[in-house]
Amino acid sequence: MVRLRSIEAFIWLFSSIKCALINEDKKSQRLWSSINGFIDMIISPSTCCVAIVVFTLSTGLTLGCVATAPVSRMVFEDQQQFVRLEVTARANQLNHSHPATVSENTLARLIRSFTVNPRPASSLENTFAYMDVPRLPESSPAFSPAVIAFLSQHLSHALQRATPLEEALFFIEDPQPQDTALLTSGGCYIQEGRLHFQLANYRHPTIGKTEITQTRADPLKVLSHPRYNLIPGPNGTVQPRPMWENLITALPQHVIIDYEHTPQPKVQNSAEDPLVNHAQPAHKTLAEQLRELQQAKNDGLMTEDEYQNLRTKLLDAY
Amino acid sequence: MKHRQLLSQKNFHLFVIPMVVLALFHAPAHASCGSASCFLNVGNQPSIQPNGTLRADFNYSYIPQTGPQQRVAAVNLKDKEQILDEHKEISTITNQLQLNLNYGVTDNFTLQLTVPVLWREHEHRVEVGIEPNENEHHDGEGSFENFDTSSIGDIRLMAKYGFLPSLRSMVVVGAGVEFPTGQYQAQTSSHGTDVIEEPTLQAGRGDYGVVGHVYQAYELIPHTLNQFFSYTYRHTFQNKYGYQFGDTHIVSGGLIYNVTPHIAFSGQLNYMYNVHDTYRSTLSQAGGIGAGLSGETEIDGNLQTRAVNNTGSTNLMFTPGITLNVTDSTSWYFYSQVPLVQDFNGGLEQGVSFLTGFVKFFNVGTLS
Repeated sequence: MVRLRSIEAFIWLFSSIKCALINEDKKSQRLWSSINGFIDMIISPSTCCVAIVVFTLSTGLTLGCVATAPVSRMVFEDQQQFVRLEVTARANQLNHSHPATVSENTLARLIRSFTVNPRPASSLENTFAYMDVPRLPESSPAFSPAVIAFLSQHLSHALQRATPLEEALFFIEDPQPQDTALLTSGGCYIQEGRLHFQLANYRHPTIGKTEITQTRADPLKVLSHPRYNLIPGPNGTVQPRPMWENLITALPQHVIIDYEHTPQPKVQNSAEDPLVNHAQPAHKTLAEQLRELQQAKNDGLMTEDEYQNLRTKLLDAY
Repeated sequence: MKHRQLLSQKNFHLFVIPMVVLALFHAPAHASCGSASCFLNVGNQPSIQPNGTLRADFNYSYIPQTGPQQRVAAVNLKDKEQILDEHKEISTITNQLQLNLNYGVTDNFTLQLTVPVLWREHEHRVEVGIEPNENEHHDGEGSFENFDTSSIGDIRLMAKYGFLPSLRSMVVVGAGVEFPTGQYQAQTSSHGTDVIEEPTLQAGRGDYGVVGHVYQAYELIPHTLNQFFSYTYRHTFQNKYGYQFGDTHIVSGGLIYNVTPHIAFSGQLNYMYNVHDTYRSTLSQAGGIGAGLSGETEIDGNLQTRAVNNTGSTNLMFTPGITLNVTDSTSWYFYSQVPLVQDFNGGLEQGVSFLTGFVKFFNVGTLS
C-alpha cells in the first residue's frame, strides 16, 4: 500500500511536469519553449517545494518499507558468537509452541546426534586459499563438544523466553589465521513437540568482515553452496526443500526432531556431563582453546608431549 | 583483412537483452567455426579439481557462419594447388557435442580430457571464374555444392597445475596435446569425382597440436563476485598434405556473479586471433566472370609453403551466461556468444552462437 502511494505520488509529480510543458507548448509549439516552460516550472517556488516534499516523502516511505529492521532480543553475545531471539519472516505464517521448556541435556543430546556428510563440489565456485579447509569425512559429528555445550545452554534459555512469533538464532565465528574465519549459523524453534533446527551456514570459510557482518545481521542467510549435508539423529527427519524456491532463495538445511518421543537415555547429572560442564567455559571456539593450550605450554604447565596429545584430541573432536 | 563487421544494430539488441536479463537476476570451455568454435570459459572448468574429484561436463554448441560471398582461394589437396579466387563460401553450420573430464590427481594437479564430436553442414560455390566445360551451364559463377561431415574431433589431453598466490586469488597453468583423432580426409563428390574437402571444413586437423593455457581468478567479493582472465595458445603441426593450421591465441576475461548459492550470471569478453593457415602448394589464379572469363592461370608452379589468404581472423565476442545448480552435484549452463567485432579475410564469419551443457561432479577417489 505504501509503495502504491509512492507510485501515485510520482505519477502526480510527472503529470505536473507534463502539464507545465504542454501549457507552454500552446504558445509556440517549439522545443525551446518547452524547455523554458520546464525551467520556469522548476524555479517556481511553490511547484519546487511541492515536488521536494512529494519526492522526500515517497522515497522515505518506499525505503522505510523495504528496510524493515527485524525485532530481536539478545540472549547471549560475545565477540565471536551469540544466541538471540528474533521475529523472523515466517512469524506470521505459523505460531511456534513458545515459550518451550527443553532442558540443556535434551538439547545437548539432540545436537550431539547430528552428523554431517560432505557434499560434492559446486560448479559455481573456484577454491581460493582461504576456502582450502580440510574436509570432514563422512558421518562426522556436526559439532564439537564446546559448540554443543554453547548451543544447548543458550538455545535452551532462549526457547524458554521466546514468544510464539520468535525463533532462536545462533551465530558462531571460529577465527582462523590471516583474517579468515569459519562461520556456522542457523536457528531453531519448537513446533508441536518437535524441534525444528535450521543450519544456514556450516564451517563456511570467509575472509574479511563483510560476510561476518551479513551473518550476524541474518544468521539464516545462506552464504554459499553448502559443503555438507546435515543428518539428524534418531527420530529426526530432513525437511524436504521445494526445489524452485530453494533455487531462488537458498534455504537453510532444515531438520525436524520429535524430541518428546525420543527415548531418554540414562539420567545424567549435568555437572557430570562434560558437554554441559560450565565450570569449563564451554562456548570457547577451537581457536581460543588452542591458544589457551599454547599459553599453558608456554607457561610450563604441561610438557610438549602432553601439549601435543591434548592438541590432537581437540582437533579430532572438532 | 578485407571485411570488417562492427557492432550492428541487430547485434546491439542481442548484446543488450542478455545484459538486461543479467541485471534482473547472476563461469569458462574452448570450442571454434568454416572451422569455428565457441571459445569461452565455462564455469570453473579451466580451474583445478580437488583430489579425487571428477568434473564431467557435457555440452552442445551451435555455431552458424555466413560470409560476404567474396571470392576466396580454394585448396586442392589432391593436386597440391592453391587457386586464388576460385571459391565463394556461402555458409557453414557447426553442431558440436563435447565431453570434458577434469580429474583432480592431487589438490594442485588436474588432468583434463576433451572429446569433441561434431557434424558440419557447408555450402559453397566452386570453380568460380573457371571456364565451364560442355556439361556445365554457368557463366563463370561456378557450381553450387554442399558438404556434410560428422566425426569425432581431435581429442585434447591437458595437465593443469594450480596454485594460490594469495588468499583470494588463484592461478592455473596448463599444457597439453591434441591428438589427430578427427576425420581430416572426408571427401565430397565434385562433378562425379570424389575429392578431399578443404582442411578447414574437416572435423580434425590431421596432425598433432600443442596447447598452453594460463588461467587467473580473483575473488572480488567473498562467494559473490569473481573476476577471471585466461589465455590459451594452440599450435598445430603440418599434416601429411602439407597443410598447417595457423596458431590460435585466445584471451578471455570476465566476471561471475553468484546471485544466490544456486544461480550465477557471468559476462565475459573473448578475443581470438587466428594466424593465417599455410599450405605447401603451387599457386594459380581463377579467371574473371562473364566477359572476362579466362580459365585458370598458373602463377607459380613451384611447391612452396604459402599463406592461405582467406584464413586467419580476429574476433571479439561478448558472452553472457547463466549457470544453475540443479541438484547438489549437477548444474546446467547456457551461454550465448555474440560477435562484437570480427575481422575476416573474406572467409566465413561466426554468427550468434549458443552453448548449453550439464556439469556433474563425482567423488571417484584417488588413483592410488
